[in-house]
Amino acid sequence: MARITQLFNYHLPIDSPEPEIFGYSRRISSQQWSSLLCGISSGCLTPPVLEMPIQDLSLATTTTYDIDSFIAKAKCLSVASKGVRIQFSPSCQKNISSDIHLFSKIEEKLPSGKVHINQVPLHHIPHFYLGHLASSVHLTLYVFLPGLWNKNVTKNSYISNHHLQQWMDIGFIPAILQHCPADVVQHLPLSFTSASMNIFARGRELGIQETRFESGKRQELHYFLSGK
Amino acid sequence: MITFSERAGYTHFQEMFLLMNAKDLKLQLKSSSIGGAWELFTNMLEGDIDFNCLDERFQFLDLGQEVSCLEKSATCFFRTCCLEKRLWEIRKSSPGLKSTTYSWALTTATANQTLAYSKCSSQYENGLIYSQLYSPLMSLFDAGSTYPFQNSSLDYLSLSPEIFKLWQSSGSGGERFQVNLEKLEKSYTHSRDRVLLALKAAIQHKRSFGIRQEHRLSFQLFNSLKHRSEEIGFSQLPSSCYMQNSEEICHFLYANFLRFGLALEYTAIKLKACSVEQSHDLSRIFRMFFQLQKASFSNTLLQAQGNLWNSQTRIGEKRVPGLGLKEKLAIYRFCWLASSVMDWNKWVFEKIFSQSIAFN
Repeated sequence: MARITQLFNYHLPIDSPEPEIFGYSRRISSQQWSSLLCGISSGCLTPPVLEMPIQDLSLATTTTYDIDSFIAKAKCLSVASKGVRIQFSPSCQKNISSDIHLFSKIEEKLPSGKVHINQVPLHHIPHFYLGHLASSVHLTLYVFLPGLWNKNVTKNSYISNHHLQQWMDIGFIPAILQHCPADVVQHLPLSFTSASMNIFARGRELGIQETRFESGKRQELHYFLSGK
Repeated sequence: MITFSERAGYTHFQEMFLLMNAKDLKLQLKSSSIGGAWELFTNMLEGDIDFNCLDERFQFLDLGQEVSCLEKSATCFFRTCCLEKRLWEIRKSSPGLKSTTYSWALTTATANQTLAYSKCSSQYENGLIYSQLYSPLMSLFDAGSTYPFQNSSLDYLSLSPEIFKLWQSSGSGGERFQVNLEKLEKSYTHSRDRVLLALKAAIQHKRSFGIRQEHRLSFQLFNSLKHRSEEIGFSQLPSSCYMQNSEEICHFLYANFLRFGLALEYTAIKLKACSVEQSHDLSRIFRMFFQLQKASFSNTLLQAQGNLWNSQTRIGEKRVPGLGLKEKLAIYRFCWLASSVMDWNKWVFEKIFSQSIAFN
């Protein structure tokens, strides 16, 4: 390996690259290119084989363990014993977009009346980010809506604003109003639409430079709901 | 919420469930034993999760094991041959296994590997879902999951400015084509300078890198392993791995990366000065070097890049030549280019490539 590095360093120009500058305009000879890219020179027409030196294997090592992720289905929001920070207008950028190699069963009623069970990868099931647990932003909670899964659009996990609005305005927010005391409720945006406008308020209302109105930076607003 | 999902007009919300997805915890939950890592996890939660509310049949953890050398400037590598042998053995007992081996820096020196066990396999049934074996060396280039040259629009840099202008000004499609070449050049140099800086810093600080394996397991399987750390730990480097001097590794990566970057930027200058007719081949040469540069400093799935991997690919009736790196790896353990690919003096493709659609 050192031999190949040496070969490269011998032929690489010392003035390249300059930080932040794109392009190299000085001449490099064909002999230099042959050595750098093909590993050959006029004296040696066979490229070198990459050799890795054998090192002493008796060197001491340490072994450590860690838990990098924890993924679990929860039955209800009571899973967040100490509360949860909720986003009433969730960002679809937080959706699980890569394959996490876990599946969930979704029943499909066939025209024949029979029921077919599909094993659907989680990242293909429509879902949205609800918020995170009180102790850490790394403990995130998602709401999965298998009823919105469509066999023909398997790769789309996003929820339309229409469905999000229904879920928030007709399902979730009335439940909060029923269970949370008035001193908490008074701090919350109580509709999906007003929450959606709030997250763009800073991006669209402040500042003096012209931007396209529909753009603007999101402000990831979360509201704490106690676990009690 | 359940009552709501049963109401007429809202039944599409039936069967909804919550998913807890806690990730990026490895630095917070490092311990000398598996049980210790679990204890750190429960301490971190401080009673934040009511485990009784979790679905017992659907709880998974990513358990990581890292073996590191105590010396300075030492890098541990998996032996590619051992990874392949191990894969062959697992495959025998794991029907439907999907494995991917990512070669490192255009060499056979080491590799990263991922294994996705089929739902029908005994491994999956016993709670082992997915495994990955990799070198934390790649974390040198990981900026919160943004890796160098990840911007897929960078390929537009392979167009000559003249073609680019023509493209942007042609018709309604062109008007929508809002790519700023200057911005892309900055994106390229930022990635390039970031790679070089990371390698320089690693050399300067005599950094060491271990090996990591991470397995997605069911909670039940995790519990059965929790007290068995001693059986699977290593006090010496396992024979399936070997050690290299980090400085040597980083100097090699630096030069390997630079040579393709130099060829790419040499082509970029020629692209700016060439005629529209000449630009087609130069654009393809640019794309070839860009693919090689992206593979030169970290792990890549070379096999998926037909133009690089095969010496020839069939597309319908056509036979498209490639760089044949598969053969080069077998002979030299390193991806040298054949001298017949280009006329290095005139900086044009040799006939077999210029008359083909390779790197189009």
